[in-house]
Order: sequence, then structure tokens, then C-alpha cells
Amino acid sequence: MTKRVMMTGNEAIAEGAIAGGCRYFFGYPITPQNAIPQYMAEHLPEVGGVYLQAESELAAINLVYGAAATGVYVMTSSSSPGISLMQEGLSYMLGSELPCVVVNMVRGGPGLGNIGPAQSDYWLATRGAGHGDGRCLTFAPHRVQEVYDWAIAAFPIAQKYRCPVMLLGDGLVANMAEPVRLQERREPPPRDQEWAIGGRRHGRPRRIVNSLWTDVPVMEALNLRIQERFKQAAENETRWEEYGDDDPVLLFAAYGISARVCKTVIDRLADEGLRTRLIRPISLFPFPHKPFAEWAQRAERIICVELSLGQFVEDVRLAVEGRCPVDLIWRTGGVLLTPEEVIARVKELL
Amino acid sequence: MKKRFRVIINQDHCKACGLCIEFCPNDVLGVSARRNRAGFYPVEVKDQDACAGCAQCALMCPDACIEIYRLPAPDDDQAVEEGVQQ
Amino acid sequence: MPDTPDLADAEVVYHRPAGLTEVQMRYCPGCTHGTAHKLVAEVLEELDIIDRTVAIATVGCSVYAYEYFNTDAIQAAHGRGPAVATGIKRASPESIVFTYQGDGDLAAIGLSEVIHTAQRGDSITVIFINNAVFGMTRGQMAPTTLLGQKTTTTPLGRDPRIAGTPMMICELLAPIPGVAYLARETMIDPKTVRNARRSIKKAFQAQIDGAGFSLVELVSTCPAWWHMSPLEAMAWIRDEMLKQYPLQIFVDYEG
Repeated sequence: MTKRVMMTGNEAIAEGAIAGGCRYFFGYPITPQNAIPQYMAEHLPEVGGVYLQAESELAAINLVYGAAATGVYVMTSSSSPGISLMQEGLSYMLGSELPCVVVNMVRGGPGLGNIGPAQSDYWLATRGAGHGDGRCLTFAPHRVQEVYDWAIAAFPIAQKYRCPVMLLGDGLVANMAEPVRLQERREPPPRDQEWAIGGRRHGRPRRIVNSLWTDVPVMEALNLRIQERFKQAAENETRWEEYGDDDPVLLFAAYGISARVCKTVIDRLADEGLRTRLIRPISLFPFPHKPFAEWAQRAERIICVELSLGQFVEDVRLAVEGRCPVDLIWRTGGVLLTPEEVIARVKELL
Repeated sequence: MKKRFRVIINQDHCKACGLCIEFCPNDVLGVSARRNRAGFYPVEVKDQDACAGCAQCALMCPDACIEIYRLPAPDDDQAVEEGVQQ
Repeated sequence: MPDTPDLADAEVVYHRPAGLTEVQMRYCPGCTHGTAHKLVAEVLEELDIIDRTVAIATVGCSVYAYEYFNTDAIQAAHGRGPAVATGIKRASPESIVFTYQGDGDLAAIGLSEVIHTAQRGDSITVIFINNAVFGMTRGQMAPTTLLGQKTTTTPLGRDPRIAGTPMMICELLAPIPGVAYLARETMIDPKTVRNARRSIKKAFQAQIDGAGFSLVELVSTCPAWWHMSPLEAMAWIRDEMLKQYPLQIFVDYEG
């Protein structure tokens, strides 16, 4: 018998993490995601977990790194400027082959920006876990129930591929309240990974968690190992949703909050007799190339809708490989696109 | 009762910094004439019998190259017996 | 124990500590990094905590410390060691966790982390190597460089009007309630080496007892970038550095 409650995206991510077995959270306040550390501070002690407010995002990601090395499910959350600070730490996690979950509730930028919703950290999320070859596995839910479900799913995925998993939200999904069907909270899994350090060794050989390999072929081999895991992630963890007409003349491409707007646009355009369909990537890395490659052969054009100057659209263009035109409808800096505005721009394009 | 000490130096690890020679009060140690693989002239024991077992050389060595052992002297057992009888 | 027949009945007076691996340490001849490693290793063995210790190697000459300590180990980003230590300790409280940091790592980029860890009173131990210079990167000024000291980035000598005054880490941390043991030692002669070992042992004992944060500052040599021989470098500590950094037990731990 599962409970259904009204929750904001922030609360859903925090409760989802606890439900999934996460008992360690280290973070730093930044709007619009402060309810996440607050929820963790309130509820982690109930389940014997540890909430620690870090002195900065620099410290937060390194607290995560230390805890992750002991084999536990561990999480942090932040928003765009704080995620910038965490880049070095994410690179260390990937290079040391450690799992963790990082939440970015994206806000307007660049710089200090504002607390409005945005999607201008797409590159930051999918093009690198900091410096070096390597990226965060990135997933973008678009409604609060999905946020909750991904918070549970993210931890075993991070463990399987031994890397940071980034959950990309935005200022709006963070603070909107929707009904969520909750699951029973799970116990954390045992720390029996063959790479985990800490605790009594009982004579087992010592282990080292490290990303320094001055023997350069060893460093290259590490990179190949990471790439191999990402290939497997592409086979197993690629996710997308399609919504709308089966015989569209026009495709939309959008993720997260922009996808919510697109669904409304699709319904309204359908009332006017225009057949459209949405491809909504849920995994941003690994990117779902297949649906774009297939639909691009049949549709007249693809219109990307995103809250940035054009980051996600580049991956769409790569996936389409020139088979049809790709346009962009955008706002940025914390401004939210409305269905009316999108419809007006679509009609201009047609 | 004469105690005898043995100073064992890991000459492969020795970097000839000279601290052990400086802090030995009994001139037990000196620089050897043979180079090790790293190109240093490592320290060697010159006068083992002079060693009083203070272990200051081992204490000061930054590379933990030195180990000190105390050998049982042959007249130790007899001295203990005599002490017990008294 | 070496494999010679005449040592079969010998009593060990001093042996290479079990807390060190067999790997040769890469430090320069006469660099007291090696001595510090040796003392920490001896203490870990004496307190019988090798089996549950996690060493945190940080960025600087000691970046390879994870090869030298015979324990689980982890590499930390520059300055972040105490945060990594806290993360490990909170997730694995039965572990004994220590960072090994130079003056660049701790007093420059990592100042926030070490202060906050002390402020939280986390029971972790910091071994702080103060040799007044950035060694690994070839001799630039450190926060602990002495006034007038020449380095590659203070070629005319450190001028306080440009570069401020030397940072006194122990004095900074001493008033913090979460600190259980805090001392400044050096390793320039047998007496000071023994005192340093005693302080390191108290620091780890404070951690074992869960009493709070412990830090031992070890005033150390850098023969390479001071451009001195090992013995000259020890003399420079005695004659110059200790004037700026007097040896003291700031917060004692009786257990």
C-alpha cells in the first residue's frame, strides 16, 4: 500500500534518495534547491543517516568523495554556480572510479545569474565531469514523480558504472508541487565493493583510491576503461519518451521543463489540426540518438525548445545528421518559455 | 657484560644525507666507497664494536634505512647465574 | 629481520616500522618528510591501528604518500584533505583517518577546510609539514615563508607590504574548542625527533578516544629549495625558523 503525497521537486529528490537507500548527504545552501539539504537535515537522522552542511561546494564534493570511497550511497545537490565549484571534485570522482549522485537545479546564468529556471548547464552536465575525458551520466526528469523515481534509480546506476550521476532539474521543477506516489524506504546495501576503503581490513590487502597515474599508459588505460563503461551505459541506460501524433509533420525536441511546455503546445496544435510529436530525452548522456535518426527521415523539421542559447540543440543536430532542418526556440537567463510564445514562434517558422 | 650491537643499513635506499653519521656519538658509521644504483655513496658501518645501541642513527634517518639489533653476549648467562646466587 | 644466522637470537632495538611499505620514499636526501612518515608509521604500529587506518595523500611533494604508508589510502584534491577525511570518518567511524599535508596544501588552498574540520571537532588527525616553501612545484613562496626569505616568487625576499606575514597555523587553530591535541614540533636532533613522535602518538590517541580534532605541525627541511645541504637545513630550522615558529604544545591531551 503506497502513499500519495504532494511534494515539491526538491523534497521528492531528497525523499527519493532516502527511499533508495542513501544515508549520507553533504551540501551547501544555494537557491533554488535549499529545500534539499533542509529535508535531508530533518529526515536523515530518522534513518540513522548523516547530514553535514559543508563550508562550501568545494568542501561538499570532497566530503562526498571521501564517503563514496568507503562504498556508501552518497549525494550532494547544488545549483549552477555551486556546480561550477564542484567540477574538480567530479573529475576526481570519475578518475578515481567512484560513484555518487549530484543534483543540479539549474538557474539563470552565467555568473551569479538569478534564481529563475534555466537549462543552460546542459554542456556542463554532459560535456564533462570537470576536466579530462569523461562525463557525468546525466538524467533529466520532467515531473515531480519522475524526479522521485530517478532519485531512487540513480544510486545503483552510479555504483554499476562507478561514476557520478547527475540529475538535472531546474528552478521550476525544484519548487513546483505535484502528487507523488511514494515507495517504502529501502535499507542501504552492504559495502562490499572490492574497491572500498576504510573500516577494519582484517588482514585483507590494502587498497588505494587514486586518480594520479604518472605512468602515462596506465592513465590512458583508465580512460579506456571509463569509455567502455559509458558504452555499456549507452546500451543499458538510454531513455527517452515520445508524445503526440504517430504521423507528425513536425517534431519537437525538448527535455525537462521545456518538455512540459511542449506537451501543452502539442495538444493545442493538435486542436488546430497540426500533427506534431515530441521526443523527450530522459538520459542526456547517454543521448538517445536512435529516435532522432529515425524520425528525422519522416518529419519535415525538428524544433528544439530549450531554456538556453542553444546547447541541447547541438546534440539534436548531431543525432539528426543533416537529414532534416533543426530549428531552435529559446529563452535564457531565467526566463521561462510559455506555450503561447512557443506556438507563436512555431507559426513564424512554418 | 658486554652488549654487542649490529647496525644493518639498507644501502639501496640510503641517499647519503649524512644525518646518521652526524648524530652517531661513537663514530660507528662512515661513507662507503661504492655507489648504489641511485648514484649515492651510501653509509656503511665502519666500526661495529663501537656501537652502544643508542639508535640515534636510526632515529634520524629520513628513509628508515637503519635497523639495530642487540646480540646476546656469550658471558651474559654466566653473569645472571652469579647474580642469582648472591 | 635480515636473514643472517648470527641475528637469529638477536633482540630488536630498532626496526623499520610496519606502518611503512617497502617502497623507497622519493624525497630528497635529508628531507624530513621521510622522518615524519617514519614517525607516523611507528605510531600506527605502536597503537596497533594499521589495520583500520586510512591515509589521505594530498598534493605536494608527498603526493605519493599512498605508496609509502602501509594502510588503505586515498588521494585528495589540493587543499581538500580534511574534507575528504571528514567524509570518510562520517561514513566509516571505526576508521582512523589522517591527512598528511604540506604548507601549500594546508595553509594556502586548504585553509578553509582545515579550519572548518577543527571547528566541527571531527576526530581526524592532520600531520602538517611546514617547510616554508612550495616544494613540489620548485620553490615558490608559501604562506609560511619567512619575511625576507628568498623563493622563486619572492626573489628579493618576502616583503610584508606585498605578500603579508608568515601564517601561524597552530596559533590560528588553538582557540577552537573542537581541537583535542595541537602541537608544533620539529625533527632536527634526537630530542626533537622523540618529542615529535610523542606528539604524533598523542594526536592519534586523541582520535582513537574520539576526543576531537588533532594536528601536529612539524617544522621541516627543504634542502633542495632552500639550496642547503641536509645538515645546513637542520641548522637553519634551529637558527631561523624556530624564531618564527616556536615549538609548543598548544592544546594537550591526557586521555
